[in-house]
Amino acid sequence: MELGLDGRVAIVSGGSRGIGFAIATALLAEGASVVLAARRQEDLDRARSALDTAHPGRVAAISADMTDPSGVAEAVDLAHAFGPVGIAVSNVIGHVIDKSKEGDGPPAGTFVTSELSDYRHEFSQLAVSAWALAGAVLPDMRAQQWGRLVNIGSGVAREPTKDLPHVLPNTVRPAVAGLYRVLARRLAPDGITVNSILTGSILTERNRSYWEWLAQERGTTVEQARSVMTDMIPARRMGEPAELAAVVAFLASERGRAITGQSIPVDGGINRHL
Amino acid sequence: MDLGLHDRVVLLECADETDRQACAGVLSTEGARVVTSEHRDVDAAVVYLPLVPASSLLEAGLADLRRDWLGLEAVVTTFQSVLPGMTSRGWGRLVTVLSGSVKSLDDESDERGAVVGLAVLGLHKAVVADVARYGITTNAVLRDDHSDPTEVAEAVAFLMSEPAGYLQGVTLALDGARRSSVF
Repeated sequence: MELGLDGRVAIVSGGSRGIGFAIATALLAEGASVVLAARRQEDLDRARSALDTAHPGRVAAISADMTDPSGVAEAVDLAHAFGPVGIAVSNVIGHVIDKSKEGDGPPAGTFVTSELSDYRHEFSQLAVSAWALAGAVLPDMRAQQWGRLVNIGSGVAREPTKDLPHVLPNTVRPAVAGLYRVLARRLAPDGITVNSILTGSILTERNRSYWEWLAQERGTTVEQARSVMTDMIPARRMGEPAELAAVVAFLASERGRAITGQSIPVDGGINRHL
Repeated sequence: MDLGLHDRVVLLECADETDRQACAGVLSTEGARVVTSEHRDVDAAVVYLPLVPASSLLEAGLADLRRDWLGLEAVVTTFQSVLPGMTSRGWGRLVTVLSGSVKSLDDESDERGAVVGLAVLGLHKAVVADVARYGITTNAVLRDDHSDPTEVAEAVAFLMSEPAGYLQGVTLALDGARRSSVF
């Protein structure tokens, strides 16, 4: 299926690894140019050089704090070397299990253990980043009367989890979904679609950290913890980052122009709502 | 994007001629073989439920409700006929096309379509719980009377595709943000 993304310019935050890297890969394969924004320079260098080999001249990377509007503005400036931005994927991580692997973010916690500052930190990571990216690319999208905003959110936006120390995402993720839902309604007349992906069962570094945490918590092996989690998934397997990226590419495409204001689970069937 | 539908056999059940032609056209372009009656080795099946624009439940009679319910029965019958083959082959795609009123009831909604459509979405969850583990996905496209038949067909084709294999029990609504529900 021809997605019609040839020549489009995209920004992907959290683009150096995992889900963000897979999304950048999918958009490049469809002919778009992509700016990767993330914090760690060494991850960015590795990602950029791998992607640039496959798609010479269509990849750029910047180490930027995407929770800060000035960091977002730098990423947008870099994208302008390719042209006006048409696609922006907000993919900043929230709370972290293992800071050494996952980067900045408040610690996982329950209502009892979390401080007010943790909520603000989570809000900054998830909501401010999504808001700032949308605001920074809006002039380009309005000028083109064409745009695609996608937020990589979590299934807890609709169905809060009770089995994990998730008070922060349980609280902030629904707010971000609401933010993008309102933008969808406001921006539809400008040819801009705005959607959220809801997930939590994609095979990334972060989910591996979860298995280790769960194994320690329950006194089991990591392998046992992994099968506890996959048994909860109707598909009985974790999803590949490329499977989530394919859905984002379809939403970003010409074919997906009528799909906006949606929160779409990519989770192998964990979601229970109708 | 390669949808991986080349040579896949797709059962298409759709009473409306315009919708049927749009869907058959998009799927054929992707190399799928579209069949319209029972076939032993169906890889994917799509069932369109009829849309009744601006229908009113208060004005519906029992005969209307019973006719609407036949839509649910058609979905059950189709799923029953194609699932054994899909299960044994370890790959399958089930898609229904329903009224967007299952998500929110705004002015001029298809109220009757909401009732039968919600029954179908409930069925989807049960089917996902039973057969997702065999590589079979079950999802819905939601439309209303503003929807473009080709865009509906493209969403159907994407849900049937190889890359969409981790979508289970979801709805893709093609409503251009007209509806007022948050989710």
